[in-house]
Amino acid sequence: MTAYIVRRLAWIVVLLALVSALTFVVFYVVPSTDPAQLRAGRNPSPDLVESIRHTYGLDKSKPAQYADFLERAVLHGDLGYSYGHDEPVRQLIFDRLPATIYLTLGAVIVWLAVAIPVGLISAIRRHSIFDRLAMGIALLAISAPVYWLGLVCLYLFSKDIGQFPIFLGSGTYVPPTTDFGTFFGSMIMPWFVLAASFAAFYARLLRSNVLEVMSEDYIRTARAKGVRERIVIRRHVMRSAMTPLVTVLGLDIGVLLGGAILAETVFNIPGIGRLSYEAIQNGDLPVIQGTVLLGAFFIVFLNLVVDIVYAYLDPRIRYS
Amino acid sequence: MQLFMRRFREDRVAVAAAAFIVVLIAVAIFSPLIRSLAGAPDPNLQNPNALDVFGTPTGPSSAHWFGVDELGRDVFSRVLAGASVSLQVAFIATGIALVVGTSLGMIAGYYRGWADTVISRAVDVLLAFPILLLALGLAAACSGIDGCLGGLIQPGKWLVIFVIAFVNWTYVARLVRGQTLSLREKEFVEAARAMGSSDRRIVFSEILPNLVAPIIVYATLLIPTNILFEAALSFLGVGVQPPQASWGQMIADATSIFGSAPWFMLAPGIALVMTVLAFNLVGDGLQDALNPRSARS
Amino acid sequence: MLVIAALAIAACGGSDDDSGSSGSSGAGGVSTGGKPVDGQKKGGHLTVLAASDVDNIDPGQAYYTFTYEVLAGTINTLYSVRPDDDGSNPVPDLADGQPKISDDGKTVTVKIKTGIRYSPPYNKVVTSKDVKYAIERAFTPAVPNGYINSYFAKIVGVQAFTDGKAKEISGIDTPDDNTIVFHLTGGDIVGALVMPVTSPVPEAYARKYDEAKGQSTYGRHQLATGPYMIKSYQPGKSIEVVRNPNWNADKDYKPAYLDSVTFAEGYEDPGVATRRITDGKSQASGDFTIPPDQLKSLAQGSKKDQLIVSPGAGNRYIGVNTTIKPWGNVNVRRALAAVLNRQAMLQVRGGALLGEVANHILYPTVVGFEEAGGLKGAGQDFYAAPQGDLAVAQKYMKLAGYPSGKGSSSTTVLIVGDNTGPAKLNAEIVERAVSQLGFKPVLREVSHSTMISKYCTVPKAKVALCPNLGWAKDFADAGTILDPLYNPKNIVPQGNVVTPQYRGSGIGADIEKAQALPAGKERVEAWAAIDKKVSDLVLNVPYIWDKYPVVASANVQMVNQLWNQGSIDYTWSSLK
Repeated sequence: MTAYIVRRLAWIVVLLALVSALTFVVFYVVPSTDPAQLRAGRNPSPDLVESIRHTYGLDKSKPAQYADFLERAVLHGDLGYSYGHDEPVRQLIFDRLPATIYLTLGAVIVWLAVAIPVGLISAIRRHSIFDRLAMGIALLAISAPVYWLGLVCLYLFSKDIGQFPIFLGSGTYVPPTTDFGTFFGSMIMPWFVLAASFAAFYARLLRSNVLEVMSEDYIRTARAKGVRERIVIRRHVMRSAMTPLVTVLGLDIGVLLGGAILAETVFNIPGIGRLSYEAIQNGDLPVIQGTVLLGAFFIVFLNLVVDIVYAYLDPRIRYS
Repeated sequence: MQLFMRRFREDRVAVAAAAFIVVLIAVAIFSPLIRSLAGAPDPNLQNPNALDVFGTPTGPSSAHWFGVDELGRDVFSRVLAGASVSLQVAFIATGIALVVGTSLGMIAGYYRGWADTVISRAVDVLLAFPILLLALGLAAACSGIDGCLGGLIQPGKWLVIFVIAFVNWTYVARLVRGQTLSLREKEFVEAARAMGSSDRRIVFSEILPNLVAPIIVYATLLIPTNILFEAALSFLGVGVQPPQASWGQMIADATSIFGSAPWFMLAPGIALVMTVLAFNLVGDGLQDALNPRSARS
Repeated sequence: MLVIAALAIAACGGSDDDSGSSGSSGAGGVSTGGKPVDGQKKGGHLTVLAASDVDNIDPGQAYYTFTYEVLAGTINTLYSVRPDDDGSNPVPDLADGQPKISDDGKTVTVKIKTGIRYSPPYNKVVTSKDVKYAIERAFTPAVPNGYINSYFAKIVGVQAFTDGKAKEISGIDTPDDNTIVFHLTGGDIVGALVMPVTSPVPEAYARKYDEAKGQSTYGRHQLATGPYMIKSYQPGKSIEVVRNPNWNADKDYKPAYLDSVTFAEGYEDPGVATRRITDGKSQASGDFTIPPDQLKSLAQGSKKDQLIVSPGAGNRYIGVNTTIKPWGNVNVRRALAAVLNRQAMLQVRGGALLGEVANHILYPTVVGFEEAGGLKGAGQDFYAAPQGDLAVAQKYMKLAGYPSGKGSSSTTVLIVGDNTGPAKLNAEIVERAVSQLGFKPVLREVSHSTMISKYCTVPKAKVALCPNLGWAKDFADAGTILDPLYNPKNIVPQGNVVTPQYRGSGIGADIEKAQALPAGKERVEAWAAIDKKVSDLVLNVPYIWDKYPVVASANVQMVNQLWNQGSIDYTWSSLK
């Protein structure tokens, strides 16, 4: 197991290097905004532009710039300095990451809390009205884009412009350390809106997993032996049916931690997603590079976590 | 196949959804005709007279069924015009992703060796990317005046198609590779090989036909996803170019004024949700029909 | 001042763009300026919400509206403008009395007040040498300054200084600690003595920052002489100003009622910020523009008193690149002006509340505006119909050599515009106008800062039309608009604002001649004539004379800077 994890970690490092190389190519081949022009202010003297280019290492060849970047990132954890913001990229990411983490984790709790009971009940009471209704709503939720759902909810429920002013609206985010009440109030809508399509997807997935497991032989045997339905479900079905959910959950968390661009945009939450989106809009390469790496890191890291958790959940799997 | 059609036909919801899609395709093709029958203006006609004295758009009326946007353009006409873009992008991008993904997946799975290593590693790298960020980045990078790839790809519909296909083929390739790996060990493939069939023949007559079903199922998942993908890119401002109407872009435009002009966000949003829902329903129906033992229904 | 750029870069976060609003006809009694009122309540804290950061907090580098707003309470320029003045009547600030100008106009002597002290940690007394150093440093590469060459290069000895041949500018004399004398090669410098670069910077303190590697870091450590000083500056997050303990109220005309002000940055959604201000307490708006729908509800509702809309906030025009076909032809340009629905351009920004339909480049409040035709303009038929007139456009297309009155659809016209807010709508109206002329428009929408820095100020990018440009005066002189925008001398490969790149019709010579004239009637008329000429040649297509809206909470007695595009003036505002 240990050897396996070490190997996987090594592969993660290689993968991140490749991701950063690809990012570098995509965004550098296409000339982004010249940071020297951006930072030098208006009517800059050529000397100043040159010195700024030198400070950023932009007077070197492209491969050399990439080598510099890798060296700094690997040896010092330094992701460079933003062209647009007057700050190091690492600082920007640290400032924005908490909002994204709160958004993601809150939404995960919401969607699991909704999806697990709904999925189970739908499976057990297959073809009941509850099942049909729940699965119908689920399909609708999967079909609605998060930003549109967000707008509709804001229009209906936000305190500032809503028809039924209940929750704090867009742009009201404050860190929980500043004012927990406001933070919580401002996140209720984002959590539910972001969770909606995930909850729907998980409920559907769980339902079909449960149905599949229940049709398997060992469950039938257990039933035939007269084990009570409740216990069959708790002991056997849940465990097998939940395992695939863990995989998907890990991947989804990984993607969301890299920035929930659309949800953050609609609710105006200052997270990683907005940071990266703005960086792309403004050609702020160091920030793009930093946020892409961060996102890729979360994805591959959670992949690894999923595989390890999997091994514990499903005793048939042994990594070597 | 007949069995499959019968099973699908028994699923009334899926049939209704399929009918809706057929209507939608007709609408997309004949939207100018429908518009003129309805007496609605050109989707790109700017009519400042439909704005009030403060420049805010006016709501639904007999002249403008769904109201107008911030430039005084008719929202009804633009929702109609958006259908065509949405469907074209989703179908073409999905098609390209399937062709590329299937070819590369079969090569990797059938030949294994270094071809497999290269393709699988490339897929790994791309899958490690935050997808939306990669798409946004590609689109933004190509949205310069000259486009990208030496001007081959210009901002607009084709760029969106390219971007979506580019981030999509990996999933298809991974799926097909896995299937091919197991198929190539199957007895009928072994038998064909023993009879001296060429690789090409084995791939096209033995393996590919067995991939059709899973690929169709996957395509039904991809199309609605890609409709949403196009809308998301347009929502974020890197999709189709103005003045071309797109649902995602209309929702983005509505974002700043949805408090005072909710109709502007509702019409394209409902169109989008209904379209995606219809494709999802048809997808569900197809899966059930193809795979009757599945516990889905 | 590239206003639109200023505000726009401010807004690059993605929300809205720049400009503002209000006032005249359709507005229904919205205030056009918060007049200073004496004897207000002292004390309290004001929070100004802003979308983005200052361009540069160093007074030697600052060039944008919002930065001026922040620095207004911390620096004393030689002269400054009272909040209710449109900029034409500067009053002495650091200076003691009006400048003495020699008969030939080439020597300007300014006395400065005695006993003005810097804020901690420096605490020393301001001398005229500090003003001299402040100007000199702005000519060095470490302190990039957007206007210094336009307004101060006429001082004798600047060339030798920038070439490194002289250690100081020989044309600035400081015979004693309270006198500074400018020797000029010609023209006028008095108007420019309101610019932030004339606020004192003590060499003994600032040198170490100015000589740091790269750009000077003095801005982060700057000293104040005004009623307030910068307590903390976190780029992109906040700027806090508090009372300057060394300020002497008897020597300054500003009342400084408030105890402290926080400029809270990062309010990228102007709708959210506006609502927060109007519903909250002790807040005011900074660099962003109030969205049209909120402007409407404010102007019509009970919160009307919390809104101020100021005229004279700048102009908006389509930058026309005359080096690209078919825009080299004056009649094609006239056809574009004729077909463009300028009324719609204004309408989508918020209507009459936010400005007036323009028909020449100079805008109301600029000295020379009336002489150039005032609101009516010079009466050309291609500016006659605010809604656009296709027949007139076709007439000019025929004159341009298109017998059918329509251009060829094989002629593509590259337009680069903004991708958010009303500016995006403006770009799409221009796109429509170009297709009405018969050409094939290709519109690329990018963020405002990208539009400016990558396309519209870079001749090599070969952009034909830039619909989202605008300019605001630096001070009342019309030369602060016409020279930077039209003098062929200013055409540069990067950061070029002479969008037409037009060298014909003797424009350059006209501008040089006007620049050499001393302040007075003749100078004003010379500028007015140049305005008429560039507007008649349609070197850019003017479409709006802007008005700018600001809002404050109900408990704020709001005063705004008419001279600075209507920004809030926190040195005069107070809490009720």
